[in-house]
Amino acid sequence: MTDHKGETNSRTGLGWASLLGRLLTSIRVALLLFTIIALACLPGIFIPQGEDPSFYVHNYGGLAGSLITALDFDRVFDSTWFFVLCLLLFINLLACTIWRWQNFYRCVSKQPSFMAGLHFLGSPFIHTGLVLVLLGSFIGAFYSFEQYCEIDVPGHQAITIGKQRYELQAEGFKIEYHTDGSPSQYYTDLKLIKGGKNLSGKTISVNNPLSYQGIKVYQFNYGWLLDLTLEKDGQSRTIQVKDGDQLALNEEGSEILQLRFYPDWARDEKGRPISRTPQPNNPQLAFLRTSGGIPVDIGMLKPQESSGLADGLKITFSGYRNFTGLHVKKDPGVPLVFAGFVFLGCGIPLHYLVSGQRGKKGE
Amino acid sequence: MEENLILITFGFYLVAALICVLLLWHKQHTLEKIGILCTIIAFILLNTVLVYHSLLAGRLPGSSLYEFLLLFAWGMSATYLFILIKYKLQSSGVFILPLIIAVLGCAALFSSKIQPLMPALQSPWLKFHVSVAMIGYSVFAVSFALALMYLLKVPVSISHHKSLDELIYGCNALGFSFLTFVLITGAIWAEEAWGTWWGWDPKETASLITWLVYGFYLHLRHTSLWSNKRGAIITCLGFFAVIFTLMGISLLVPGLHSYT
Repeated sequence: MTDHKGETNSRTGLGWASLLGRLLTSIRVALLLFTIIALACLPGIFIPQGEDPSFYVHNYGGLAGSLITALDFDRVFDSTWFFVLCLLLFINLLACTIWRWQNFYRCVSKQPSFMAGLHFLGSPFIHTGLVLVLLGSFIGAFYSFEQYCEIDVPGHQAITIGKQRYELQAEGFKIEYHTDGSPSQYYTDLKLIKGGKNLSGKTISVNNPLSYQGIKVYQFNYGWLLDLTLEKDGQSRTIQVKDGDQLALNEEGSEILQLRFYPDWARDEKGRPISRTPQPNNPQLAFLRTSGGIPVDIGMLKPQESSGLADGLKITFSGYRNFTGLHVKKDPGVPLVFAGFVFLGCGIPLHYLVSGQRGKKGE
Repeated sequence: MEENLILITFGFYLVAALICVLLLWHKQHTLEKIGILCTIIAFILLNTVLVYHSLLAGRLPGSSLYEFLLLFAWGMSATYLFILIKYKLQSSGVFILPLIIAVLGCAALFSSKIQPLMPALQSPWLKFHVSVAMIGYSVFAVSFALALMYLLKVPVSISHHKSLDELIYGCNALGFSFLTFVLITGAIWAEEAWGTWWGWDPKETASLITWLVYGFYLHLRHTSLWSNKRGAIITCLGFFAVIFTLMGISLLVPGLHSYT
C-alpha cells in the first residue's frame, strides 16, 4: 500500500491500466475500502439475513422490502457486490504486502539492530496474515462442502463429498445434564466409513468434532424422534416423525396432524403446556388435527397410549428416542486461514510491542 | 453480598470521579491523594467482587454479559491505575471513572445469578477469548477518554515527555492488537464449536467493523493523512463501535453470541 502523492503529476505517459493499478494499490483506496466494507456490513447486522422475500415486504413495507431484496441486503455477505469489495481489498492488500516485504529487505540490508529488524518484520507479517485469511475465505466460499444430517441412534447416513462417498454411523448418543436440568453436554459415538472400511471413530461432543483428512463432523444439536401408529378402516401404518413436524393425513394435504413432544410435561402458571426440563421425566405428546386449517381434534398421549379421533382414525404413541444432529464440513480454505492467523499472531507483537519507530507519525 | 459490594465499589468510584472534577479547578495535593486512594480502594473491592463471584461459580467469570461487564470495569480500572502511576495523568479520571461507573451500573441491571455453562461455552478458548476482549475493550475505553480530553482541550501534564496524541495512539495500537487476538481466538473456537471459523454472526460482524475503524485510525496515523483532531474523532467512533458490539448486539440483535 503505497501513498502516491504525485499521482496527478505523473499521469502523463501512464496508461489507464497502469493508473488503475496504482489506484488499486493506493492507501487512500485501502482506507476507502475499509469505510465502504464497514458500512456495507451494517445492513447485514440490522436486517435479518436469508429470509423469504415476502418477509421483508411484510416487515418493512412494499417499497423498502423490495429495495432490500433488489440491493441484496437480505443476503449481504453472499452478494456479488460484497464479494467484489472484498476482492478489491484483497488486491490492495496483496500489493501492500509485496511493497512491505520489499521495504523490509531494504531496511534489513541497511543492517539495523536485531530488535529493529524484528520490528520491521511485524508489518509484512500482519499483511501476509491478512492476505492468507482473505485467500482462505475465498477458497472456502467456492470450494467448501457443508451438510447437516440427523441420524436416528443407532443408525447411519450416506454423504457424498466431491466424488467420494462416505457413511456416518452413529452407534450411541448420550446427554449429560446440569443440576438445574439444562444440558451440560451431548455426545455421539461416531464412525466415518468408506467402502466398508472404518476410517475414523470418535465420541464427539460440542467443541470436540471428529476430524479426518480435512473432513470434520460436528455435534450440532439433538432432538426427539416419535414413533406413531395410525389405524383407520382396519389398515395400520407405523410412522416415525420428528418433534414439531406436521403430518399430512390425506393426499390433498388439507388434513394436518401437528405434533409436539414434551419430555417433562407440566403446565405453567397460565395453564399452558411446557417442558420443565429436557429430560424425559414425564413424556407426553400433544397433537392437533386440523381440517382445512380448522382444528378438529386435540389431545395428549403418554407413551403406549392411543386415542380415537372423530372419523375413525386411531393414533397410538408407540415410543420416542433421540436423534443426533451432525454438521459435516470440508473446507479447503481453513489451513490457509489458520496459517494467516499464525502470521498475524506473530506480526502483531513484533510490530507493536518490539521497540522500533513505533508511534511516530508518517512511518 | 455481591450486590452490596458492587454498590460500595460504585460509591468509591463516584467519590474518586468527583474529586477528579474538583481537581480541574482547584489543584490540591491532599485532594489528589484522596482521589487516588478512593480509586485504589474501589479497585480492591472490585477484585473482591470478582474473586467472590468466581468462588461461587467454581470457574473464572466471563460467560455472561454481567460477568463480562465486571471484567470490563476491572480492565478499565487497571488501565487507569497504570496511566495514573506511569504518566501521572489523574485528570483522565474525569472521563475514565464515569465510564467505569456506567459499566458497573449496567452490570447491576443484569442478574448476578450464576448460570451453568452451556455446551458451546465449555472450551479452553473461552478464557483466552474473554481475557483478550477484556484487555482490548478496556484499553479502547481509556483511549476514548483521552481522545475526549484532546477534543475538549482539557489541560494536561504528562510525565515521560509523552503527548496526549501519542498516548491515544499507544492505547489504540494496543487495543487493536488485542482486538485482533479476539477475532483470532474467536475464529479458532468457532471452527471447533460451530463448524465455521467465520459465520457473519452479528457480533462477529460488529467486531469486524470495530477492527476496521481502528485499522483506519492506525493507517491514518502512520501516513499522516489526517490531523490529530480527526484521529481523536475516529478514536471516539471506534469506542462507540466497541460499545455497540458489546451491549447493542447482545441486547438488540439475536445471534449466536447472545449470552445475557
